[in-house]
Amino acid sequence: MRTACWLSALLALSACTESPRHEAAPARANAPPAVTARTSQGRTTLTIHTTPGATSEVTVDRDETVGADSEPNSVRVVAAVSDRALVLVDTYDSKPLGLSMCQAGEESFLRVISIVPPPARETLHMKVTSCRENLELADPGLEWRADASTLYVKWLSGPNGPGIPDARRIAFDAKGDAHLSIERQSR
Amino acid sequence: MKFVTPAVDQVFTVTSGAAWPHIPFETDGSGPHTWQWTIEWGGFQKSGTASTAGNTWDAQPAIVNCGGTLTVVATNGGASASVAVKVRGTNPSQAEILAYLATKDGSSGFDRIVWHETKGRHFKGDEPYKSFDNGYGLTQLTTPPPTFEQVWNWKMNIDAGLKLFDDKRKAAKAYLSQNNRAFTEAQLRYETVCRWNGGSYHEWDAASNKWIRTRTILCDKTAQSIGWDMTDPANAGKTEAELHARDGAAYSKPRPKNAPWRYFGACYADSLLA
Repeated sequence: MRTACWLSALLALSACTESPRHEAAPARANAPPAVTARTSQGRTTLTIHTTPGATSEVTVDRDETVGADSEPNSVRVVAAVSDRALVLVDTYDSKPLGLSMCQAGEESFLRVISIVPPPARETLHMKVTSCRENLELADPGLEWRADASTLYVKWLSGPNGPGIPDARRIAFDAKGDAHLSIERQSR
Repeated sequence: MKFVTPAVDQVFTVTSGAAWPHIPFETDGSGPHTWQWTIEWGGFQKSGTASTAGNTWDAQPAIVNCGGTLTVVATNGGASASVAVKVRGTNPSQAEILAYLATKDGSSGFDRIVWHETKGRHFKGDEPYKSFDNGYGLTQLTTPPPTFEQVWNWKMNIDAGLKLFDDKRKAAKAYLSQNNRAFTEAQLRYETVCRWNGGSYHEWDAASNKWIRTRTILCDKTAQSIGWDMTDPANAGKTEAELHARDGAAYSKPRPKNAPWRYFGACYADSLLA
């Protein structure tokens, strides 16, 4: 039987808490790197504070459900993978549709950012929550199992349609490379 | 050859109940005719060809659910003639909208949204209403892009909007029924309308073993979907009147990212369904 492990205490303390909007926390020894985000020309530039005083940047895409000028509401580190990669989630206001649809909604993207070897680069991304696309994570929806270097993504309402549960598994190898698969286990 | 009817630029009007008018064409020719027709409006276009044994043709079945300028070229042997007429619309009444929605399963709450947001305006004047962001008609369809028919026929427009609402309803059901929890029809209606605007309306209260309205959101009752997260230290301990006095003047401007007020689907649902 699997034991649920909703992030390690270390991650929960230093990274899982939603960082104040755009605020950078200084990187600490044994802590996952802090990440800040800003919008530039319709894309998001993530600044990763790898070590005190050292940063690495990577620019990533959103999609048409996010306004081109929309700044990130938050960026949070979900897991640090063997100091080689980060899993993070960046969240934005939805671009609303007619009849005030999704005026108060949000869109979130889960990304795997490889940080070693430099330069930082995005190696995987997926939409995890979306008012516009009816994606809603379960509780918990992102489950990091450090012992297996595996992240489980579990939706209450997933990519296969509104109200249809779904799950994915992202396993990391020793190099920090992500391998995505559909999770069929009942969890 | 020339057209006997209709007159050039004659106007044919769709009823408020979305019944398309008969549009009879007649030439002074005789024998078999071919009718090439094109109807277009605002970048939408549909065309086709019809054949008749005589010199009359009713365009209604061909152009039903579409409007704008209808151009018909009639050909009879080597002769031809052309005429253009207008097809225009009429806004539905609130009673007609409500009666139509009452025939649709899962529409509870959508009637409030449609009426509140549009006051029944499908046509501006006698042509489809188009918002600044290219939202068309009663439900302001933008994404997915509406068809010509959904732009002109308010019932088909509602059907398309209702599909989006039904998706929200499915997500709301999945949320409320998680872990085999029970919920009422009223809770489903509030949860669905809330999700239309964004976010969830209910939270699970383990003490009472029931879904309850999210406790941390205080709504500004003078502003449709604006409220405050009362866990935010900037708002904690303050009354609605105090918060409104502090923030109300800023509502009409673009919301700064760190403003202590924001849009909440829960406030939207409270405002529409109360």
